[in-house]
This record gives sequence, C-alpha cells and structure tokens, in this order.
Amino acid sequence: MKKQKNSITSTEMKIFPYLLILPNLLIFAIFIAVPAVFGVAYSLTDWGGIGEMSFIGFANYLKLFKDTRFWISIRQTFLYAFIALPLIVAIPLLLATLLVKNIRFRGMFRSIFYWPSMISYIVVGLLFQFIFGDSTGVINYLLTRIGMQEVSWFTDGFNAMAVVILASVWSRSGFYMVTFISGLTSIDDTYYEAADVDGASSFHKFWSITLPLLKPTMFLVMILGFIDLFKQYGLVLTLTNGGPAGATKFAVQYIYEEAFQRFDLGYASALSMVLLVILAALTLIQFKLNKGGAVDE
Amino acid sequence: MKKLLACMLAVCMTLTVLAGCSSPSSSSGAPAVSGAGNSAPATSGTDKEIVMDMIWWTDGNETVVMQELIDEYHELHPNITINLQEIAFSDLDTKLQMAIAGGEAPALSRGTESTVSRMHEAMVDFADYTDVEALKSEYLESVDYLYKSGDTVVAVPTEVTANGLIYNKTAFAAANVEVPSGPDDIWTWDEFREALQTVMEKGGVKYGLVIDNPSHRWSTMLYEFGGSLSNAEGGNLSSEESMNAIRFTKQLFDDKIAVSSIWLSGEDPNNLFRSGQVAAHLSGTWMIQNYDENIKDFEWGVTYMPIGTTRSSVPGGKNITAFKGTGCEQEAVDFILWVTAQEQNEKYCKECLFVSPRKDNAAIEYPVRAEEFAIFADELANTVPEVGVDFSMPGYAAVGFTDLQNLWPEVIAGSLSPEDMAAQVDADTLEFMQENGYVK
Repeated sequence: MKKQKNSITSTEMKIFPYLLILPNLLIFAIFIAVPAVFGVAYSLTDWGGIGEMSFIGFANYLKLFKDTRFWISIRQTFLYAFIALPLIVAIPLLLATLLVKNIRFRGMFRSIFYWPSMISYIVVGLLFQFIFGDSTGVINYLLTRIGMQEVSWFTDGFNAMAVVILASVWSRSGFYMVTFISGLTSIDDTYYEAADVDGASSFHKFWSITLPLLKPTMFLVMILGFIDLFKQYGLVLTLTNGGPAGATKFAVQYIYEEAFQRFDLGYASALSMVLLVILAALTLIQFKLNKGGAVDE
Repeated sequence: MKKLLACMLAVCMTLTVLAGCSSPSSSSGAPAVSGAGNSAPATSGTDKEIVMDMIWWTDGNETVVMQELIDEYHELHPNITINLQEIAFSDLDTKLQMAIAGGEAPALSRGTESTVSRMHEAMVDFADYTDVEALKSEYLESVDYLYKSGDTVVAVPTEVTANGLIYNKTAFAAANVEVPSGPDDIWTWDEFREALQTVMEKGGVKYGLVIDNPSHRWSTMLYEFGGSLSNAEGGNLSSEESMNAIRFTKQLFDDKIAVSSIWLSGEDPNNLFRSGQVAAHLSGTWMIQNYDENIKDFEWGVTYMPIGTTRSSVPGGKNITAFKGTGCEQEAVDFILWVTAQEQNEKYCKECLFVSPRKDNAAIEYPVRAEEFAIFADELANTVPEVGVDFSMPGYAAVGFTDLQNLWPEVIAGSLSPEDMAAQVDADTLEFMQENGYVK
C-alpha cells in the first residue's frame, strides 16, 4: 500500500519561504538593487547623461568632500528632518488617540485628517504657496487689508523652513494617524481593564500600557517618516524652490540640480551614494536604539 | 498534493506580481517605442504607418496653432501621426535628458538655444537628411545660435524672441510718469529707477519691477552696463562693467524696488504682473500674446529698456529638433522642414504673435500689438556682439546660467558678496573654456 504524504518535507519547508519572498525580491532587484549598482558605476565616471563617459576613479568622491554647498544642503536636511520628525510622530499619535475612542462623527474626522495625505507633495507645495506667498499669498493679503505689516514667509530663511515643516506635517499626519490607529486597536483591552481595577489615571494608562505596546508601530512610523523627510523634494520645489538662498534646499534637490541643470550625472551619482550611506547608517542606528521595535518584556 | 499546491501558489504569486509590473509598461510599450519614433525603416516616402512623439510646451496659444499644423500635415501624409506631448517648460531639460539617456528619445521636440547648447550631441545632423546650405540661406544670420552647434545644423528655428520691458500703462499714467517716446529718447537706468519709485508712490502699485530670472533675463542688464560673462581670456563677470551691473541690480533689491521673492523662492513673475501690483516686468516678446489675452483690468504696453553704457537686448528663440536613434529621423526632419517653411511659419508666427527668423517672413502683419513688436524689434537690432560670444559656446549655458541661477539668490539674501559670486562664475567659465579649447 502506497504511503500518503500528509505534510511537506523539511527541505520543502526551507524552500517555501524563499518562493514567497521571490516576487518582492525580484522587484527590489530590478528597481532598487540594479539601478544602485549602475549608480555606483556612474559615480566613477564623468558622464553628462548624453554622449560618451570616461572612467575617472574616485575623483567625484574627492570633489564632493570639498563641495561646501552639498554639505550645507545635508545640514539643512538634517535640521528639517529632526524638527519635523517629532511632530510627525506626536501629532498623528495625538489624533489617533482621540479618534480611536467612540466619539460622534469619528469616521468623518478620520477622513478629514487623512485627506491631506492623498494629495501629492507638488500640489501641497502649490497650495501653501497660494496661502503663504510673499507677494501673492492669501495671508499677506489679509494682513495688509487689516493694516498690518506683510510677513516675509519665503524670503526669510527661518520662516521659509517653518512653512516647509508645517506643510510636511500637515500633509503626512493623516497617513501616520491611520498607522497609529491600527496599532492602538491591536492592544488588548484587558490591559486597560486591569489598570482600571488598579485605579490608574488616563495618563498612567497611556504612559505604562499604550506607549510600550505601541513601540513597534512607533518604530515603523519613525523609520518611514525619517526616510520620507530625508528624501523631501517635490514639496520644497513648488513651495520655495530651495530658497531663500538655499535655506530650504535639501540634499535631493541639490543632487537633482547637479544631474539635470549642470548635466553632471556622474557627480550626482556620487552624491546619491553618499546620501544612501547616510540614510542606511541612520536607519541602522534607529534600529539599534529601538531594538528593532521589540516590545519590552 | 500540498507540495504541488504550495509550488503553484508561489509561482502564481510570482507571475501575478511580475504581470502587475509589466502590464502598465507593456500597455505603453508600443507607444514607448513609437515615442522613440517607431521601428519603421528610416526611409521617406513609404506608406508605412509612422507614429512620432513631439515634446512641446506653451507660453500662450502655440499648442493650438501647432496642433492645427500637425492636423494639416496628417491630411497630406495620412501615414504620419504626430502626438503632441505637452509638458511644463521647466521640465524640458529633465524630460529630454532622461529620455535620451534611456534610449527613448522622442522623435521631435521644441527647444531653445539652451537645448541646442546642452543636447546637441543627441540631435540629428540635418546635413545627413537635407541640403543645409539651402536651409541656412533661408534664415537670418543673427539667429545661428538658435539652430547650429558649431557648424552643424541640429534644429530649425521657429521664432525669435527678444528680452525687453513691459510696463503697467495705467500705473505710469496715474503717477504721471512718461516712458521714452522713441529710440532717441531712451532713459538711463538711474532715471528708470526714479520713475519706478514714483510709480510705486503715486501709481497705486506695490512693487516696482519683476525680473523673470537671474540668468537669461538679468543678463540683459549685464550687457547694457557693458559687461559680459566671458571674453577671449576666460570669465568676465569680475570686470568693472559687469560689477556695476551686479551692484546696480542688488541695490534695486535692497531698496525693495525689485521683487526678491521671484528669485529667492520661485514666485511667478507673470502672475504678479498680471495682478496689477507691479510697475514693470523685464521679460520678452513671448509674453505679448499671454498678456494680450489675460490682462483685462489695466492697460499695459512695451517700452524701451534703459541705457547703460550701451543699449542691448538678449535674443532668444525656439526651434524644433529631431533626435538620433529614433528610427524615423528622415520623417521627423521632413516634418520639421514642412512646418517651418514660409507659409506654415507665417501662420504660426502671426497667430502666436511671434517674430519670425525667416528672411521671407520679415514683414508679417500682426493683427494686434504692432507698436509693441516695433519696440522689441528695435531692442533686438541694438544687441551687442558680446551676447553672441557668450551664447556661441555649446554647453556653456549649463555652466554660466546655472551659476547665476544658483548664486544670485545668495547675493540678494546677503550670504554671498557680489565679488565672490563674480569670482566663482569666472572660475567656472575659465574651467569650461579651457576644457573645451576656447582658451589655453
């Protein structure tokens, strides 16, 4: 009598997970890894995007270390990301905490707060330009109508950065709010019931139950938010065009200008590699500090 | 059985995801090839279906007029289909460069002298497809920069533009400030500045002047003060004449006569002028059609640029070009030659209110704004030779103009001195000229 196999073998068990991740692996390889390898190759050339390319070794990397404007753009990117990130975590968390409760019109409020995240960064930039524009903006128009002085929103470096951060937080909060709502609803109610029995206050419940159990979600939001902010481009392009005088010119815009205004794709590729290393290092640090988002025992 | 199911599941997932990736590209795959012309042989006169993409942007009504011409061409050549792909002018260089680098260059594209300067290597050499001597004889010698890279013809010009001054007539009249009455009555830059201040005080406008950009448009002031970007030895922006232009311009911004947000944060100068809040706009001929159609709340006109040590405009223009490696270069060139021929070009320039670069279209009678065209023509006639020197170096636009575009905002913001900006541009100019054999 032939023996029927009721379970897959250990060899098959080893292969099966790889088959499942194969689709994503292929996408990653085709759209991320291969272009990255090309990027490394281009960074060792003087290619202008059109015509012949010549191998120039590490000349582009030596050049970038002396490129003050690139490092200023990196500094401004860090400044922007470090100010915007806490806001992009705290505001969605606050919204999620409020909107996870059984309040009236909860669905409507969730939709309203989520709506900005469906708008592209380009449109958000144009929208805020319409509101804050120095000469054509609604706010300055209203200020002058009531006899007040106009504000230099985009011709003052501090104000311009503040508006860019405001626009970024406004446009991304809805997305991360939904992520937090998902994390909050997955926390078992029995923890809160036990805390109620012990007479814990709302703050204590939030501090001792919600926050620790929300750590994996928090970690995810921080990683995604940081990478999102660090790669910011479309919003600043339409909002300030990197101005005034480079105050809001972030690394990606600088790289874009080197590639498509100066037609120096080789150098721009070298800059991209540096950005990649910075992002990878920061993600690794975040990963270590957060222990990969593991919940403390 | 489970093993089989597991394998089938994994394979299905793989295929599903791959199909999801390839589906959009495959659905656009054929047009993508057609975007590069198509795979048809490069022989003219065959009846094989040819589909060509043409990259295009518009400042006014050019799209409508060009589409009419394309439709007319399609009636004459039913096997040729041209898809006009409209993009923003600011995306032109990126779009073309990406397409060329990816081996998907469009068959046709509208361009400027800057496009010729930056991308001439990827453009077809018209000598391979037509008699270029006959072609060159049809165009004004002064527009060589618009379609030639060195001695090679890589495009055909469609219109000529001139930088110049558009002003708010209503505001000037309200302030009782007169503009020059003719070429013998030109105002100086100091007189112009005083006039703007008066119009700001009494003419009901908030701002004195908007200058489109710190590169091409600002260079008009540079040449009028006797300066230039380069000379036979290298960079020339640190010369006394050039520095005078830089300092005068900076003072206009410091005195809040010129609107700094245009250069500092990319606010739209056209919208600002159209709002009626600005006395004058340093722009060019291409805005005539736009303003004629869109400004209804006040009167506007064109007046003479102020004089520095000399008068000058900066000529510019547009062209149509074809790219190498598309498989339909001959058909693309045939269309370009047809659409830029005398009759078609007259229709295009007349309806779009453009100056024609063709010798046989010098006397187009425009339906409106003939007076404004006469002033621009006079500005163009006074262009100094230094403009030609700076513009005749293929590839230089990516260096000199990009530097001005990036560094001027820092000068306005006070984080860079005018002298340091000039020194940096000069250094980059010298490096470019040495690399390309213009100086030893």
